[in-house]
Amino acid sequence: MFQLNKDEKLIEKALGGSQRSWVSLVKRYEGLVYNYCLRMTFSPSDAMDLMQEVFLATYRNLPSYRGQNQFKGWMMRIAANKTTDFLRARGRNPLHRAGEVSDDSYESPELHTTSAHSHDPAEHYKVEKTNQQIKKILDRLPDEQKLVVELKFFQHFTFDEISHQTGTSINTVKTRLYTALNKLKGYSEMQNVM
Amino acid sequence: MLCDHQLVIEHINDYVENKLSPELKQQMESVFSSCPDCSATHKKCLELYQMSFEWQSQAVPEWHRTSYAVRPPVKSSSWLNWGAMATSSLAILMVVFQLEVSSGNTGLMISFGGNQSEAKIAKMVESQLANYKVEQEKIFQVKLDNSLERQNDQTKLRLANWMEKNRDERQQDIKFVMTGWQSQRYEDQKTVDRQLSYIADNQIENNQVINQLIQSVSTNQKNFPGESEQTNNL
Repeated sequence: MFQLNKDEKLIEKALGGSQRSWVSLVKRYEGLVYNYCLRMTFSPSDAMDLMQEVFLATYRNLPSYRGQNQFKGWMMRIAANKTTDFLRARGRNPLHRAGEVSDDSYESPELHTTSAHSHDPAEHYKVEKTNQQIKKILDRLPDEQKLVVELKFFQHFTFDEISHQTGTSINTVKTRLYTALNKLKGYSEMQNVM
Repeated sequence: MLCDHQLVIEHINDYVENKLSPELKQQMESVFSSCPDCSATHKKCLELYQMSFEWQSQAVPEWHRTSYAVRPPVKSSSWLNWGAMATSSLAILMVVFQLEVSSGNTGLMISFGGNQSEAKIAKMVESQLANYKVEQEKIFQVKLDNSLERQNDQTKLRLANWMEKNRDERQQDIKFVMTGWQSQRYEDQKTVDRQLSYIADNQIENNQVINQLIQSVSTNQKNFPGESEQTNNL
């Protein structure tokens, strides 16, 4: 409740032209959005671009935010739309597979980004390995199923919220999740992750 | 019994998150025990659910959070604000101190506190009204003169146009009459020529007849001289 009120205050100030409030709001959600974008795009640079697009669209649409829903849900709806557009555009680009998830995680550009956790190389490697495996698993899914898995398991939205964010019916969301689970049946990497 | 997986599609996630009622939970467990496909789905869902907590959140690389979105504040020129404020203050002070500016025979007079008497004000108003009346009369006279002059010009112009048009019409009439007269004259001349030619033709014929008669008379005289003498005697 306190979080929501704080969001509302920051939004109000940001709408009044306060850069500091906008930066505070961005800092509060950028980790969530960046990691979401990372899982959806598998590329740090793409995730960065997508995250910036999401925040730009959020800022532009801020005057139309009515405050009835949680800001997070409203922003993630924008993120879902932007992600769909982004993945569709990237799908049309024949060069996008060049950024495919590599088996050799040491060569992944993600390793060059700052980790929030430990500076211990062994720990760092373990963290990156886990994330790489999760990304590999998600990469096996088509974009629309991946989006549902992301919103359900990683963002913990309800089916109703996911339906609202993706613009599809609840039944379609459930079916997509079930299809995704069936598709992952043949892969055993998930056990390695845990 | 064939499983249509519908129950699993509907409630698998709630089952994994342990949000189902005991009855539904029992039904789901019954499906899992009877349908290996649904059991495998449940297993995968559980793995995915647990896997989601394994994700190690990545720190966001440093980026500029405002340059793309927030417009820099528009810097308005400060002298304009100060100028506006000074003008407003001056206007307020003029109202508060009842500043009055008047011009009379003695020149421009500025007074504070509204010390102008009623009579003076009435006289001033009367004088202003008289001035205004004179000015209005002048303006009216000038406007009237201009209007008359304009009307005169228009009349002259209209007259000149009318005369020009009338002259053209007369010239055309004269031309028409002259052309008619000339054609009539030509026709008359032709008739006279024809008559003269006819008279000339008749004269020639008459001459010929006369000549023939003369010849015949002379021939008769040669053949019958006595008769001719008698005739001459007679």
